[in-house]
Amino acid sequence: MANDFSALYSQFKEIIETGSEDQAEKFLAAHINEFPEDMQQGITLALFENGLKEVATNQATMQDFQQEGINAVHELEKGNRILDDKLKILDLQEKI
Amino acid sequence: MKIEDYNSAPAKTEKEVTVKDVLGDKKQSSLFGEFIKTQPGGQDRAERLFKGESTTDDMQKLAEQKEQFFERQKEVEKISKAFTPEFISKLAGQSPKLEILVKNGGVEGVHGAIVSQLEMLAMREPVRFYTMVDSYNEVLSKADIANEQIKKICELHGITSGEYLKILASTSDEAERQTKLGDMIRGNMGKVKGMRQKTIEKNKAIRDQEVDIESKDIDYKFEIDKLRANYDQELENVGDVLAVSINENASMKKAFMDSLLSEKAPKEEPAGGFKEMRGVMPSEENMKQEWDGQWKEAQVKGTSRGDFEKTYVDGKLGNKKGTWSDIVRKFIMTSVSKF
Repeated sequence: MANDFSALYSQFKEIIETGSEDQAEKFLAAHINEFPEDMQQGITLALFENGLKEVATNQATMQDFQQEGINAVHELEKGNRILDDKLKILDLQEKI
Repeated sequence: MKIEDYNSAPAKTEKEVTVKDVLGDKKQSSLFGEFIKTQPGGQDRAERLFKGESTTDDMQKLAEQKEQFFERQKEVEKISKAFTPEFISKLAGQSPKLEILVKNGGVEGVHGAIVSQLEMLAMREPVRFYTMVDSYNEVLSKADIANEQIKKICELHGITSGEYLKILASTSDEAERQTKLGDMIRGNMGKVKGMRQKTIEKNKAIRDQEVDIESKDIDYKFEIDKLRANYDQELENVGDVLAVSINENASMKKAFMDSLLSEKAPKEEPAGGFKEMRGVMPSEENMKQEWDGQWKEAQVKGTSRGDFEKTYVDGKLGNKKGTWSDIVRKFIMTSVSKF
């Protein structure tokens, strides 16, 4: 276990110094079973916490986009109704 | 919180539980100790309490804080129940990193780790705890309402995202799919931005324009048909990309989220964040040398091993808090425990 942990320590240190947050999280998740028990628990909570935050942020971005799109669709639908009304007026005027 | 844990028969109500009762229970005492350290003046108060040197003022303050502590415990209980294995699995479906974690640690293992540590986190680092609560509420909110509205729009206008589906069908090469889908999605996303406002203005102009049937210069019906075709095309473009946003196909989902997030401004690094950890972790070899020297001195002064470990690790991380600080602390702590 001691040697295994030393290898994990070195690899993780390398990612911290030169890698990205995403790489570090993937490394920890992939090696979760190789850490001592008490570390596994703490890392799992931290990864869950980051994942939850990320999903929530992505979802909020998605909802903002969807809402913008839905509002645009409603306005275009309104535009089509206005154009239909104009056509009806034209038809009536032609008949008069 | 379980009032019956206080070994009193009959069980005391929450109001009847005293600070002394809390301190008499090993687990509660430890949690309460962490809780009060986060309160104004709490660090000193906690030290006096555990040295048995509390003042009357301290005891009065602790009695007040006991109520807040119970409230925090109730919040922990509520959110612990919400973080079910089903919820964790669902979340893993939306986060590749969590998916790896669940695959390796098992959903029950992940669930157990979260539930067993949430209470201590809530007491020790309330900002992290409440951020989790907020994130959970965000994940639960409104998502399905927007999805339902989009489904209705698609049904009403016969929107099928046909062009996107053609790309999916055209190749099984995932990289090629992602490139082609991404290009089309980003193109249509760009059209969505500001479209509502532009359409409002255009609609107003159309509404206000008088139709002069006698005019010989303008063919109004032709103009209206042209506008109508234009609006229909725009509606299809927006509708298509909205339909993609609710499509369950994995390639489509990935292309959509990647396109959406590629335009987002990078988030600000929180205190105790990833980059702040650079330069904090020594190599184990250097740490061992440093440790040996300092530990000899500490032993001369009569410092216990446990106290020295804590002081040594605190020296590396200072008062840094946050997820990454916590993880790095565990690495250093585990490493020095072998020395």
